[in-house]
Amino acid sequence: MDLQHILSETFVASAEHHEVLGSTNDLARRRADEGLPFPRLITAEHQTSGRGRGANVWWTGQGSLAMSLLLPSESIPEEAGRSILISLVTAVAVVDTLRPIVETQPLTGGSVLLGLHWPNDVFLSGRKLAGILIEVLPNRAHVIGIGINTNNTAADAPDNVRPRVITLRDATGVVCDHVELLIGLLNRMELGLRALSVDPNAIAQAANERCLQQGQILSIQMGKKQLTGRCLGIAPDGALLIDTPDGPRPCHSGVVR
Amino acid sequence: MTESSESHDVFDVRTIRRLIELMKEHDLTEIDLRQEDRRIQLCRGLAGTVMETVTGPGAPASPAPQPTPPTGNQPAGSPAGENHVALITSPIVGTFYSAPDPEAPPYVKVGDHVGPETTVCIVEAMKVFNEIPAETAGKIIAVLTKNGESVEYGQPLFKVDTTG
Repeated sequence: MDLQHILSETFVASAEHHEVLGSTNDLARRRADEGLPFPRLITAEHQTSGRGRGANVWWTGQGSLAMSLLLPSESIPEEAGRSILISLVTAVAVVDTLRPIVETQPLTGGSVLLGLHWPNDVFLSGRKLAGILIEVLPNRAHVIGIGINTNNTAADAPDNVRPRVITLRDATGVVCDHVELLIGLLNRMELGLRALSVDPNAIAQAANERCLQQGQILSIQMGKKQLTGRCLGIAPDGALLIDTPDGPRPCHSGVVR
Repeated sequence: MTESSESHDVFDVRTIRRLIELMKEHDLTEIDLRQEDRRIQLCRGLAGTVMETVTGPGAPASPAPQPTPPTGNQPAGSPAGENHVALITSPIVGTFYSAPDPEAPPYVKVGDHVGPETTVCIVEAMKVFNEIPAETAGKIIAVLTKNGESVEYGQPLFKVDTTG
């Protein structure tokens, strides 16, 4: 991993790479108090305990890309509700970075739809290509964790995961350059993070344009409540809008089924 | 609130129920009634919940919720008449998690002492997991919501006895 190239081409101020790591997010959390130059990038070729929502784990096969970006609190607007848009900023950046790779290569079959599954999963051909997990620490430093199935293969995934994932290599036959991918992704994220302060509505609009769930009948588990209805897209505050018999309902949190 | 001038005892359950209905009907967030040396304060959060505080002779010694409307990441407040009780409120709409993961013990429980930087819970929205600091010091005297429940912007999550 050519970290110097990444540092020279992006807004990242310091970086480290690991062949094998428990979790890039866990390491980023520990780095938050070490006085290192921010933003700090942590990458790994393989995670042994990648995390997802709740008890979920993130599978990272050999050749995949796992990264965490540690941002200081001052880089995120303090307005309530604004910082959660960082979820959409990241997902849009991932979609836009991967799209040229997907669209310029012959796919191995199935649907070629690439886009966002609210709030921040990235799907290709109906399967998960990338996942994002963001943690806001008590001092408001942000850890943005991104896992992308790049040069790994779903054939190596556990039985319970294999039917639900897809990798760039499986879909295109191409082995992608992680450094170039990271540079493209980080530059898009920098632009998106700037928009958090100056044009937050544009973030939700960009996410809405890439949302694959529009028009679908969705069932969302919100705590003990369940909300079912047709997806109307993403609202300006980032909520998923669901059409119900009582009218459109915004959903800010929940598991979409 | 003209109903407050009715001759009924304001502490009558039917009166309180009617007051709650009126608060919902007129989208009021707070009613503060006094009768001689007794007082009742009703606060209604964005989630539609209504909290009651009664102070004065013979009244239960329950601490009061934050009477002001939600103001974002405002962790602590001092309800009227209970200035040793602070509230930790939710800075966003989301899902309340009492522990870092389903297998872990809760960050805090009733009786625990916290400092301003103590993480008391997570509120998650759009897969952004916000670790909420107490931002006040004292003893947790009430956990006001349950693990996995939806919470609203400004909704009280914990009561803290700042003398604890």
